[in-house]
Amino acid sequence: MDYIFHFGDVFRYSGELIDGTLTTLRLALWAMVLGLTVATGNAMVRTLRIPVVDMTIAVYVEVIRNTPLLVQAYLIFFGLPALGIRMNSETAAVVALVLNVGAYSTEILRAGVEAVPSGQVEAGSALGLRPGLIFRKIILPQALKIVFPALGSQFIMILLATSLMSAISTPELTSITNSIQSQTFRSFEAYVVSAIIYLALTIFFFGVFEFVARNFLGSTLINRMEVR
Amino acid sequence: MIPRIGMLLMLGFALAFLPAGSPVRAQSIDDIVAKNKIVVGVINDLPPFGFVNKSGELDGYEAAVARLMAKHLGVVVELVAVSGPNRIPYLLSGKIDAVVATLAVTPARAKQVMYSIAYGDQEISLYASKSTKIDTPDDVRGLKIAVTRGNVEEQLVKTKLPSAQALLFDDDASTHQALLSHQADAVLTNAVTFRTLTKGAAADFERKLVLNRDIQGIAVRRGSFDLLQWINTFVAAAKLNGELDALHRQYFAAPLPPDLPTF
Repeated sequence: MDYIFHFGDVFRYSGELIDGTLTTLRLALWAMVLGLTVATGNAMVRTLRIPVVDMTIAVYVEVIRNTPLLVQAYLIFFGLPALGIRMNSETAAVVALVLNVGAYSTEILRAGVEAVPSGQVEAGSALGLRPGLIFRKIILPQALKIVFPALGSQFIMILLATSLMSAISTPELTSITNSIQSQTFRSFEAYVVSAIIYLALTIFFFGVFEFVARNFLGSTLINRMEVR
Repeated sequence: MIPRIGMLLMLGFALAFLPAGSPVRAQSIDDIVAKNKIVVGVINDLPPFGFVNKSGELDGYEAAVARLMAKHLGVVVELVAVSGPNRIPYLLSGKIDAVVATLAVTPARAKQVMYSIAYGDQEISLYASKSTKIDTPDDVRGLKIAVTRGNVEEQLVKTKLPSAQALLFDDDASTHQALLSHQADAVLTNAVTFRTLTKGAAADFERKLVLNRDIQGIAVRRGSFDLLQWINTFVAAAKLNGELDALHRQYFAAPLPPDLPTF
């Protein structure tokens, strides 16, 4: 192989790479926290069974799930200003990511909520618990435990999807890597380093989710057959 | 956590990519004539340098220069759309034989590619809305300036306008869209493109500062001395007999600048 590797050219930009990684982490954390909030809120509101609200949530989920995240980001960053709503690139990125992961998480959580045995809910109301308390104490914990693996995968996907936000000039890791590549022309080295950083980030989050699953939900991320 | 076999498979998969990328040789004229085709990378979103016309074909001054080059070489031309960040990687990885894509001549790039003598030029200027006051480079403090990655503007905004905040986009269309949607306060781009792209909306914007003049050269892979010499001959001849001037007038409504350097 003739190619001579020049990783040093990429490592000279380690400061920018760290900044980019921190921005990626920030975007991912905002997306995960707010996305889970959106999904939980939608699940809670759905138990009230108000037709108009149910319809609105359904429309939101279907529109977001059936359009590409990149197009959503362009619409928010370039399109909304025409309606007078202007936000900087990082805010636009967070909004796009939250809307996106919120929609997918809403569907995932809905499946979890429906999987909680209805006998539990009936028992709760027989004991005189208010609907809000039933949702918080009976439905939600069990639903989360059931769908935690799927939610974890979705969150890791949205972490990787932050790379698309480079298209609306958010200075996250992929954007920084593209700039390094365009200045040093070391495409291979730059993208290898970037891929390794993303891999490290996903392994880190996988570990965090596994820790939460074991210690707070009594389940594991990788479903193992349990002998009862 | 992840089973050991899974980790080994991942590692093996990653390592399998290392030997990928067989060395791409420098080219001679015989190589191109033998395959009867020259693959040229051109920009597709920077009118009138490079754009897609009503029939969906790549068109523009540079596509025309590439076609003229192929005609003189006696081969078929295949135009490939490239962008600021990927035009040199495309060349170095062998996807294209030559770059005729508003590639400004810089010593840094000359370490990676070989440039022909200049066939065109561009003036890099700062554009902003008429109501924004920018008379000197210091007036841009705190403003957001949109630039396209991989262009000379990316470096220019850092060296000449460091007090501004740079918004980097991957293609020229997004960069200009950022100004039109007021996401950016100003845009650093070349004069002709700005006039063309923002025709309708351009009424609200004007040129504030002229930052640099660049010359553009056709780029080939390093070591392709044979091909480079032929391209230099072609450009010199096309300048002398007026073919290049005719193309320039057709796309820019202005004559070819008479002072394009040769080197």
